[in-house]
Formats: sequence, C-alpha cells, structure tokens
Amino acid sequence: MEPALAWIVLGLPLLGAATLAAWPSEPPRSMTRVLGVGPMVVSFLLTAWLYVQMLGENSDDRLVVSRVWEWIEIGDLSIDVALQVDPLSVMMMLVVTGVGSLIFIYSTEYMEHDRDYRRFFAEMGFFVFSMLLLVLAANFLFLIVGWALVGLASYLLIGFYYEKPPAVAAAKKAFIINVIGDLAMVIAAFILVVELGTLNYLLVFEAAPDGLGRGAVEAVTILLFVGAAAKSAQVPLHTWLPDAMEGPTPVSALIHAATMVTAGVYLIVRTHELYELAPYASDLVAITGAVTLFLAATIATVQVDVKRVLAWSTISQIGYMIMAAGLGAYGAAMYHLMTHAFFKALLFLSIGMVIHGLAGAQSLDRMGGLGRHLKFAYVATAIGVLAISGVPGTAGFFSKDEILASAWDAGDLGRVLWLVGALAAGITAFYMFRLLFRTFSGPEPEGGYGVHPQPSRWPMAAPVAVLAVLSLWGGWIQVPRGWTWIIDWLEPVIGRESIPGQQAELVTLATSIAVVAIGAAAAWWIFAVDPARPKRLAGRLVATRRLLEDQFRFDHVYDRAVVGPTRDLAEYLYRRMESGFVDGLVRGAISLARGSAMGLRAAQNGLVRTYVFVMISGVVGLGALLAWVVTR
Amino acid sequence: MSGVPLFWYLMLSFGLFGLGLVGVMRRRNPLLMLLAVELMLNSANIALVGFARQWNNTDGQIFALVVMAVAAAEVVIGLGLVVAVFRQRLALNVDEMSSLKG
Amino acid sequence: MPMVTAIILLPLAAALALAIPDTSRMQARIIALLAAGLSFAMVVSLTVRLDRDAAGLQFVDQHSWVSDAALQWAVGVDGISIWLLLLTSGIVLLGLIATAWRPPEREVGFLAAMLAGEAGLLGLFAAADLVVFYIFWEAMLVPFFFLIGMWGSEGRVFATTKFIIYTMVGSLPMLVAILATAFIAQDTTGQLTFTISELRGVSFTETQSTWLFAGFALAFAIKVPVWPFHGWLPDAYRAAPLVVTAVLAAVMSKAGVYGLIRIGVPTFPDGAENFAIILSVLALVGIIYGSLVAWRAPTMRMLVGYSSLAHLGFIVLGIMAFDIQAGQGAVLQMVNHGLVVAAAFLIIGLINRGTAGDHIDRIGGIAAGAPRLAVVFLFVSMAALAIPGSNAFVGEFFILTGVFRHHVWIAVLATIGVVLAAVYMLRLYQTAMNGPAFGANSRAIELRPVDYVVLSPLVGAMLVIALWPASIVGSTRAPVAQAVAPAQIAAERPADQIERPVVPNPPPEALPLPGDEPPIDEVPAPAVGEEASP
Repeated sequence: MEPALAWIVLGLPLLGAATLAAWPSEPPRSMTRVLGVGPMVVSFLLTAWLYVQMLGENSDDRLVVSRVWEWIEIGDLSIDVALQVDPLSVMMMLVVTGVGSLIFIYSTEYMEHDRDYRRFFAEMGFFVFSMLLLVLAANFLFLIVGWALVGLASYLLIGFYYEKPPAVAAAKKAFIINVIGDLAMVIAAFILVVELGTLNYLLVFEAAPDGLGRGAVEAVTILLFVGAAAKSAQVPLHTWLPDAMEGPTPVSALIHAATMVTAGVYLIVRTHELYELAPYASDLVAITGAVTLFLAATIATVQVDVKRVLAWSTISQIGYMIMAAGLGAYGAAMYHLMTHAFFKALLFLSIGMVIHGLAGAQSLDRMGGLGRHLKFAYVATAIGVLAISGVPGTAGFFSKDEILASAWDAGDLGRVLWLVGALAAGITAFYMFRLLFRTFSGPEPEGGYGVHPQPSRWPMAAPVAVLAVLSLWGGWIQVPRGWTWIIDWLEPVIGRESIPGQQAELVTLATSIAVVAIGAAAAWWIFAVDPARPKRLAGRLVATRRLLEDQFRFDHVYDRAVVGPTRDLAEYLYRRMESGFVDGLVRGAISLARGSAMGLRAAQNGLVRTYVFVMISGVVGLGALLAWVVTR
Repeated sequence: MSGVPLFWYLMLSFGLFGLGLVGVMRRRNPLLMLLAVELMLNSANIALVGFARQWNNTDGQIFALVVMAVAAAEVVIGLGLVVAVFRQRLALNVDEMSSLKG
Repeated sequence: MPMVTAIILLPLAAALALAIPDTSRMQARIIALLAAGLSFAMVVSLTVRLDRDAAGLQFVDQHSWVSDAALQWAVGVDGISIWLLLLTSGIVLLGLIATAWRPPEREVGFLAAMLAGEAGLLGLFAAADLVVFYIFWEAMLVPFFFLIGMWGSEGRVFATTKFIIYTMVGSLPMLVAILATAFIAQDTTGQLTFTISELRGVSFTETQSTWLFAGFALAFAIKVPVWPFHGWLPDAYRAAPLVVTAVLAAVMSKAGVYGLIRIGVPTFPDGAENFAIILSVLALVGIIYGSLVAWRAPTMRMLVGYSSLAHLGFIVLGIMAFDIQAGQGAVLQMVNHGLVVAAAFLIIGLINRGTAGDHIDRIGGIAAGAPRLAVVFLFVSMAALAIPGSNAFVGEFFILTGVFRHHVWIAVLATIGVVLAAVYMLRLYQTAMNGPAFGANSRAIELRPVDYVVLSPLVGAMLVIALWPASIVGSTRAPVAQAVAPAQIAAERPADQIERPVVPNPPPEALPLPGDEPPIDEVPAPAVGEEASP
C-alpha cells in the first residue's frame, strides 16, 4: 500500500481549487470544468486504487500513518503533519470522492447559468480537500482543522448567492453554530493534552484506558459529541441545517446531505475507543440521536419547501447513524452513512433537476404533476424515496434495519430507542412519499409552473443514474445471515462487531415492512388518491401543525434566550459602559484637573498691578512672619 | 562717624519705593510704569548705598552699580517693546495688551 | 559588528536625515524605504543566524556609559524578541510602502516620524537594560504623539493628549519601580546594575516583589491595554491615520505584553504569582468585553480596535499562566496578532478608498465589485477569528491549553470570546462584503498591484505560520522556559512542569561580594526564585 496516494488524493482538489482561485480572470467554462471536475475524478480513481491495494494487504497491515513533517513542538507536546490511512478513512474517502465526483459532474450543468462558475468549483474543491483532511487526519488537532475548514467551506457555499440576505444570514448561522461545536472539540483536546500529553489518535487510544480518569473520559467524549452534534445537526444544535438549503442544490447534496454532515458519525466511530470507556456519554449520544431522528421526521411531514423536506430527512437519517454509534453498532452506523450518501445525494440531485427545470422554484405548492414532464427525474426520485423509506431490497432497507436490529439487541435503552426508530421509519415513509406525490403526481398547481419544465441533459442525468443504481443495489454488500463486507472491512478499526441476533432481525424486518407500508399508504391516501383531500384535512390538528411548521420553535427560543440578551448586553456595554464608565473615569479625571485649573485661573487676570499687589503683600506677609518667628 | 544717620537713608528709600509701587499699580501707560519701576530700583540703590556707608563695606556700592547696569539694560528692552507696541498703533495701555492671555 | 545597534540606529539616523530642511519628497521616500528595508534585512539575517536553542540574549552589544551610575547601552536579541523585531521592521516597512502610494500632507515629516517610531519600538524590543528599555519606552511616544496629533483625523488633539497622559500615568510608576529595583538589588548583591538578565537572579522579599511588579505591571497593562485601562484605545485608533493605527495595534500593543514576559514575570516571580489571578481575570474580562463591544461597534476601525483588546487578552492570559506551552503560544500570538491586525487595518484603508466613512452599516455588497479583495478580506477575517487551520488558531490553542492546565474555568470561559470573535468578524465581513451593493464604489476598492505588494507579505507570513508554526515556536522554548521558571517555582507548580534555566543566572560577577551580609546562600548560580520559601 502506498500512503503517498493519500497525500495526492488530498492535495489534488486543493490544487484544482487554488488554480481556479488564482486564475487572473474568469477562465473559460471548459477550463473551469476541467480544473474543477478533473482533480475530483482523478482523486476518486486513486482512492479506488488505494482501496484495491489495501484489499491485497493482511488486515493487520491495513493501518499506515504517513508523517511528513513535524508541525510544531511546543512544551512537551509534539504534533506532526500526518495522515492515517486505514479502512475507516479509506471508506470515507471513497464516499467523499465518489459521490463528490458525481456531484461535480452534475454541477457543471446545474451551475451553467451562474455568473460565478469558477468560484463555485473553487469552493467545492476546497470543501473536498477539507473533508478529506478531516477523515485522513492522524491526530485530533488536524481533525479539528479539517472540521473547521469544512465549516468554512460550508459557510462559503451556503452563502454562495451572497447578494441574497437570507443566504448570508443562513451562512452566518451555520458558521457560528459550527464554531460552538469546534470549541467543544478544542476543549476536549485540551483535556487530552493535559491528561495524556498527546493528540495522536493511536497514542491517545492506547493510553486512554489507564491515563484518563472516568470523569475525564466522559468529559472528552461528551465534548467531542457536542462537536459532532453541531456538525451533524443533532438536536439542539440542528437549527442551521434547514436554513443551509439557501445554497445551490449540488452543495446541499454534497455537503449538507452526503458527506460533511455525517462527519459527526465518523468522529464517534473514529474515537470509539473513548466512547467504549464512557457509558454515560454513549447513552447520551444514542438518546440524542433518537430524539433527533424522531423530531426531525415529524417536522419533515409539514414542510413546503422541497429542499427543507430533504434537509429535515437528512437530520433524521443522521439521527439513526448517531443512535447506532451511541449504541456501539459502529459498523451499522458507517453502513447507513454510506447508503445514505447514495440515496440522499440521489434525492437532492433528482429534486435539483426539478428545481433546475422550473428555473429555481422550490415550493411544493408550485409543483405537482411534474411526472408527466420530467420522467427521468420522477423515476430517480422514486428510487430515492424507496431507498430512504427502506422498502425491502433497496439500500436503505438493509442499513436501517441493521441499525434497528442492533438497537433491539442493546438492552432496555436499546428497546426504547428501537421503538422510536421504528416509529420514525413509518413517518419517514410518509413524508418521503408525500414529497414524491406532491411533486410528480396530481394536477398542475394553480397558475401553472411559471416556466415550462425543462428536462435535463446528460451531465446531470448520468450521475443521477449512477446514484440510482447504487441506491437500489448498494445495500447488497451486507446482507443479514449472508455476508458482512462492511463489518469485515472495518474490523481492523472497530474490532469484530457482533451482528444482531436472529430474533432482532426478524422482529425488525416485520415491523419495518409494516410501518413503511402504513406510512406510504397514508401518504398515498392523503396526497395521491384525491387531490382535494389535503385541503379538507388542513383544518384538523392546527396547533400541532403550527408547532411542526415552526420546527418546535427552537430558533425562536435561541433568539429570545441567547442571541437577544447577548446583543442587549453588548449594546449596553458599548453605549453605557464604554462611554459611561471607562471613558467616564477618564473624563472625570480630566474635568477634575480642569476644574481646579479654572479656579486657579482667576488669579491670572493679566493685570500687572494685581500681580504687584499680591507680590508685595506676599513679601510683607513673609517679612511679618519672619519677624514674628524671630522675636518669639 | 557723623553725617546723615542711616534712618534717613532708609526713609528716603522707603518713600521712593512707595512712590514707585503706587506708580506701577496705578498707571496703565507702560512708559510711566517703566519709570515707576526705575524709581523702585533706585530706592533699593539708596538703601544699598546707605547700608554700605553704615558698615564701611563697599559691597553695597558695587551692587548698586550692578543694579544700575541691569536697570539700564532693562529700560532698553522695555522701551524697545513699548516702541514696538506703539508702532503697531495699539493703545499704550497695559490692560489691553492681552493677546497672549489664554 | 554591532548588528543590533545598527538595526535600531539606522531608522533613527534616517529620521534625522529627513529633518534636514529642503529634503524633497522623492529623496525622503528613498531614504525612508532604504533605511527601513536595510533594517529589515539585517533583522532577517539575525533571525537566520539565531541559535534557536539558547535561552539567553544573543548578539549582545554592551557598552558602559556612566559606570558609576551603572548606565550603559545594552541591546541584544533572543528567541522571543527577534520575532518582535522582525514584526516591527516588517510592518513599518510595509506601512511606508503603503504611505508612498497614498502620500499624506507634509509627507517628509510623516516619514521621519514613522522612522523615529520604528527606532523606538526596535530599541524597546532589543533592550537588555532597564534604563535603555525605559528610554525607548518613553521616546517612542514622541513620534507617535506627532503622528496622531498632526496627521490624525477629527478629535486628534484630544486623542493624543489622552494617549500620552494615559501612558505617562503608567510609565512614571515604572520609572520609580526601575530605580527601586536597582537600589534594592544593590542592597542585596552589593552591585548597582540595570541589566535585565542580572536583575533576574536577585531575590526580593515577597512584599518588594509584589510592589515592584505592580509598578511595572501598571505601565504594561496600560500599554497593552488590559481592561479596564483601555480608555485611550478607541480614541487613538479612531483618530490616527490608518497606517499609524496599524502600527499602533500591530506593534506597539506588543510592548506591554513583551514587558511582562521579559521583565515582569521573570524578575518578580512572587509578585507575578500574587497578581496572576487578578491579571488573568482582567484579561478574561477584556476578552469577553472587547468581543461584545466589537460586535456593536459602529465603524470598522473600532471593531478591529476592540477585537485587539480581546486578542491581547489571550496573550496576557498565556503569559500569566506561567506555563511553557501557554508562554510559547503567547509569543506566537504576538506575531500572529500583529500580522492579522495590520492586514485588517490596511484592508480598511482600501475600503476607505471607495467610501466616505467606515461605518459598517452604511456599506455593503463590495464583494461583487471587488472579488479579489473579498478573498483577502475573508482570509484575514478567518485568521482574526482564529479558525482552526489559521495561524492565530495555533497561538490561541496553545495559550488556552496551558491556561487550561492550571485554571480550567478561565480557559473555558475564554473560549466564549472565540465564539464571539466569529460573531463580530462575520458581522464585519458580511455586512461590508455581502448583501446588496450600496454605499461604496467597489471598483475603487478592488486590489491594485501595489496593494498586493503590501498585503501579500502579510498573508504569506500568516500562511507560513499556519503550515509551519514550528518556525517561530521552535526558538521560543528555551527563553520562555527560562522566563517562566521562577514564577512556576513561586506558584509551587509540580516539578515536572518546570524547566530550570540552563544559563547560570545571574552571571558569576554579579554574585554578592564576600562580606556582604544579605542572603548569599540564596543566590547560587543556577537557582532562581528560591526565595519562595524563605
């Protein structure tokens, strides 16, 4: 195995992005395409080669740390610029570069009409570099660096249309929530440095069982999880992701669905040695995941913006992964991460074809009956919906069922979470089929589409087709009671993971098929059978719908409880404290000096006779005093 | 040792000083004020000379000479300033010479 | 060759040369750039030749002047001060280049004052003697007095007066403290000396140490400034010409923190230990206060100015933690902050090209017309908010690591300042650059070739530090370890965290003479600060 390949894979997207950024003026579009897509595809091919090489190795030899130079030596702490190439990072690299390449190809067409063609590819390339750095880093410091740089890339791409105030606001929100997450991780790193004196993964994991006290390890894992929750949009740090849909659709597909937002799952799997030492933190992770997946699924049922539906479904699906990771089913979490990347990218890209075809419309109210015009997008979306709902045989079916089955086997807490997950699976089927029906079937919206829906050309269709195939058949790499390629592949990293028992498999299988069927049928009955029915039902459950449409009012509460008071405090400090107290002290001293000077100034009236008089009086007075002293 | 007793020297000196003092305080014309200052300086000279005679010590006389030289220099500068002010066609009134006052 | 002396005197000589009447603008520019450039080149050559593992001063240039009064000229550099010399000479050089392109009125005088200011700062950072330090500390004020007072904008007289008086209020107690230090040291060692390295070994009682430290710390705290001594900062930053503001914020603010790590902490370990928590808490308050105020500040300059207050709080925290990692981080952060804040002020200068004022809320959407500037501005903003991966992150990370080791909650609370940094820097960047375009002629703002000349060295330096922080940090270990070791002993830190200085300190000739009764046995060659347990 050649670890230098990993460096090349890491460097190519950055090189492409830097070249594009440094190009003196807007380069020709063909050149932008070459510089944007080329490095991505080459990176993917090299990653594939790396994977093949790794397959040829013994499973014990599949971990290589490639160090280039010592980044810093400070105090007793030494940190290297190093990459850790192992099955976990290679799996993430494959997902990132593979799905990334498809989305890059798709973007060449999707962004064709945009003024900032070059900037788009430069920023996307920078994102891919950061994401690869995140998954390849060999120590916590560079993990944090990658973590923050993907946040920066995400900020840039959410705010891609920087003339639009909502996009700018959404970008800022995403950035700041992610900074909060970064800082939690930074504090976790402080604890590791102080307690263990190293940030190197391997050394930390080796020393942790003996070197970290119980409290320290719980603190580290909880802090890392705060970082993970911020990045992966878990409750209560999830509010940025729905707003992030202001970015271009390929961005939403790559960053806010397939790769970056799943970094939290990667982080937990990467540091699973620590989580295994921290039962409370692990339970917290699992419960947070379950709460998130349920809340997000319910919110998704009432959203009107197509991309927001997908955003909430992303949050919900990541909730599944986080829950699995918290319960110790790391293989299942990674498995779902991979299949989710396929079908969520597929959904975003096929819905993106609809948005592109309608020249930017995103509201479900402006859609309906599009299946007649955009057949390809219809089929692709349908496949994505089947996969995410977990219809038997599709990718989502295998991975989601494995998570649920693992939960079933994970004690009392696991059973409760299993119930939540199974219920949410039904809701998932409901809202995804709702999306499908409201977009593609039924009558045209009142007032037409605004523009005639345009079918897409091959650069958009081809990646969608590939993703559709992966979403349909990609789940077959791990089949219960059959073969376990994912778990086998990850074994050098996460150890031999126990596979769910037969009872768990069967109960889950039956339940999930039932709830999915119920959810899909409900959506069909409400949205597809009778076009007037949604309107008739709109009067029911008004309060609940309002609560869901307001997304449980998290934003409202944050605004009232955190942002508002802080701003008031800052305003107070600036207006009162700064000019009143700090400056007031100074001005007070000045006016004291000036006042006393003004008093004395009266003596300096400029009249010579006064001076003479005062002087003579002084002389006489002093003489009298002297005489009195002498004669006394 | 006979002659005018010291007392009268001092009385003369005191009287001249009082005249000069009143002159400086009452007059507003810089020329007259200069004259009054000269009067005061000379009263001091008389006192110095008187004391020198009393104690048979020439220091007082020498000092009186020095004072005269200084007074001469001072008058030159003072008159020069007065003439300069006069050239500016300003009133010769010290109370109104206040352009440097803060 | 007395290189360090030459580095200091060259700008001074050039400043004097410019004072010759009838110097033409072109001559003045050439002289100024030559002097600043040559000085910078010499600093670079020193940097290259520096022994990165040595703790003591190198390239020392020492000449006795009035030996009875122990007055002397003593300058030298070590792994800490070399970076500040580099920063000073580099930033002033760039400032002069920027000035040459947008010349102010009375340009010759401006250049002369800048050069004199540079000489003052260089001398301050290179001083190896308390008197030399003090002289440069005060002398530096004169050119800055004129720079703000003559070339400033509205309110400059008030700002200058306030600035000078504030600084004097601090520096006069420092003069008293300097004299007291020397005389008390004379009482114990029998030798009158102002040499900093020799005074480091002297044992003061805890009371003496506390009062002397307080005398120095007040001057340093005002200069930094540490909250709540920052009253001069908004006015001076607002009134000064932008280039001068850049130098003030980038370089002069380092004088205070440099004084702390060079003189305050190593010479008066007991006093420093007594003030450690107070100063740390003030720094912490400054971090949060500065960040909050920066968030609401109306103009760009004020925003960056108050952000300086916050960033310098981190540096003070790092020094007062008495931790090698935190100290090294603090030194690195001095350089980082200098680079970032200079770049930020220079960018604000560019934006001022296309707008009347620099009110944040009255401009927007510059990115559309000035995409290149937007990229550079974004880069600088990210460095200013210390995003992981930037140069400033390295400094802040290690400062806070060191602080965390000793005061967990101070470190955790300080991270709030990092979140707020994101809030205010994004406000600055987004309101100016994004959104609908209005209020500014963005074509006039877009980078021109000369702007690249000025900005690219700064951006390049930030990149180099981000990728290879060891370049700076590597040379700071020995000096920082030596500087904080006495305070660590005073704070009764675990022995494994303390690195004893390698250099015998004080040097043998400064040892007490036989017959002097003061605590002879307490000043053996390598041990420092053992008076902690008298």
